[in-house]
Amino acid sequence: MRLEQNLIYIKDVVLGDVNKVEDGVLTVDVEGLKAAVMVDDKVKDVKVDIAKPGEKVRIVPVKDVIEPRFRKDGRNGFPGVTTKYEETGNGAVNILKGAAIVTIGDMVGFQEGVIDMWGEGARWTPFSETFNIVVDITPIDGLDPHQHEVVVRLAGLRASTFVGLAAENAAIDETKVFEIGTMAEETAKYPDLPKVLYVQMNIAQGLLHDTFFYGVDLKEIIPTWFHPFEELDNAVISGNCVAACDKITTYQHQNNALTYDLYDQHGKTINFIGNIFSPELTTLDGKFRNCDYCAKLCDQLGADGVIVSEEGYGNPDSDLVMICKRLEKRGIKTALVTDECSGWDGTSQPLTDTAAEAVAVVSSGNVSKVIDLEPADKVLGNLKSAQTLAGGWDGCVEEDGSLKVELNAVIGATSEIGYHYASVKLY
Amino acid sequence: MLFVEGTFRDVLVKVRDMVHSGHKLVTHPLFASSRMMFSPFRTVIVGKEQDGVSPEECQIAEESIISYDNLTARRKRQPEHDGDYAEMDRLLYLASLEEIEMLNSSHVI
Repeated sequence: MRLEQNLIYIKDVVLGDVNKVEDGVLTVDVEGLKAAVMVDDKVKDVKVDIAKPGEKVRIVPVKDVIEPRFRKDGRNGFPGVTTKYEETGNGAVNILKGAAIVTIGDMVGFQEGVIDMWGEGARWTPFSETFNIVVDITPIDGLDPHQHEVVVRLAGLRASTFVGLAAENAAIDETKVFEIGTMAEETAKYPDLPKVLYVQMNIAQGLLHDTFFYGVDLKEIIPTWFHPFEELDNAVISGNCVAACDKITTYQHQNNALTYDLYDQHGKTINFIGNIFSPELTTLDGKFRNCDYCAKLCDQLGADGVIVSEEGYGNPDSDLVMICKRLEKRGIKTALVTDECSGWDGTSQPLTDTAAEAVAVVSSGNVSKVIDLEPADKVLGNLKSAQTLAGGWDGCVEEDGSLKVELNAVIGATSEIGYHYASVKLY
Repeated sequence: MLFVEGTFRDVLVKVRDMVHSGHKLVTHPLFASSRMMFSPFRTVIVGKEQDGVSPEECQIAEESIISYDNLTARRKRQPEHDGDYAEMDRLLYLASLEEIEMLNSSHVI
């Protein structure tokens, strides 16, 4: 596959009456955007705001983040979801790099998921650095939580496609080309390099805990091999919105940092032979089946090494460790990427499950770390959700109104695919 | 259907005890997202007593309690969200039943 990413660097965003980019300034047609979202008759109202890096603005509760893009070849959207199914990963895509659609939707009262555009909070979320077009969606009355989630999810995708139209005729600042042939071709080119697979675990467990591949609910598949560029090109959508710190937003699927890093090493230190989805189910029989099948698939494909990333915390830890054990037993070297819950002081047992085989583990951060969020000048979203952020312990709200929260609450703070700001130091 | 009067942790302890006495652990005792761990409600599906005790299932049940304690050690109850937590627990339980239905649809487990 060959994917061309034409990057248009966005340095500012303004609301207007036409979609365009001039000198790095993105203008968004507000009424057009609202109309694009209200094509769904289950949407009652849409509010559009802008949040820029450095502004004392808090966005909460964030449903999803999506990167606005435009496809020149006609398939403009999310195949299998907002457009008809079509293979992704080939061709040219124009990207408004530095802009993001942030959707707000509070389906349940305890929802968190905050983006602070300034101060301490901004240090922990990658979406404090993007120019955010914030789309607050109010559905019609009487929807059940499942319908509400679908409405907000699709509204975000439609909003991103609409704003992406600004990229159609914009001047391209940089073009990045990604190219990987078939496994046979790449192995012939790099016969001496170790073959490496990337296993991406995704939550697949029900309302607010789902992931979709070409519109297919991952609950309904067994582990599947796919080309890394498909994910980078709109094939994967997040339906997650409870695990704020370690959910993988649609934006992070579009920009999977592990995939980018593995591609960067392709042909140099490794032969990157593809990605595998391993859905995280709720039943132990389902987990055993998927973890076994995943390890078998890696073995059949001849992998010498596998990188596994997790999504979420709690029951997915079992999948992570089971996959690791099964791969190592087959003689395949395995590295895990996961966040940890090691208490406020970082000294507690970090994962639910442990295994002797898990000897190469990269931590993407401690979800229980406490940070201070000072009062915002402006809250986009739901004030009640902002109050919910306060941790629920004595002393979590200071006299000046600042809040103590755990990283749990911050969007993307401990991203287990590495698209975030936390890092690891060896002492 | 067995109701445990108490907390999420009390449910985990009950599940642990049942698995140690030979019940099959059908669904994982924990949720997949940290925020749901603060729910006062948790539904876990266990099966009938099976032949022998599964060490792997016992380990999962035990470690779930440790993990739960780590995450919730300093949290206080937020009863204003009880209704939403109850509904989410119910919906995720129903999703688990669908998953079991899929596993069972072509064969008997």
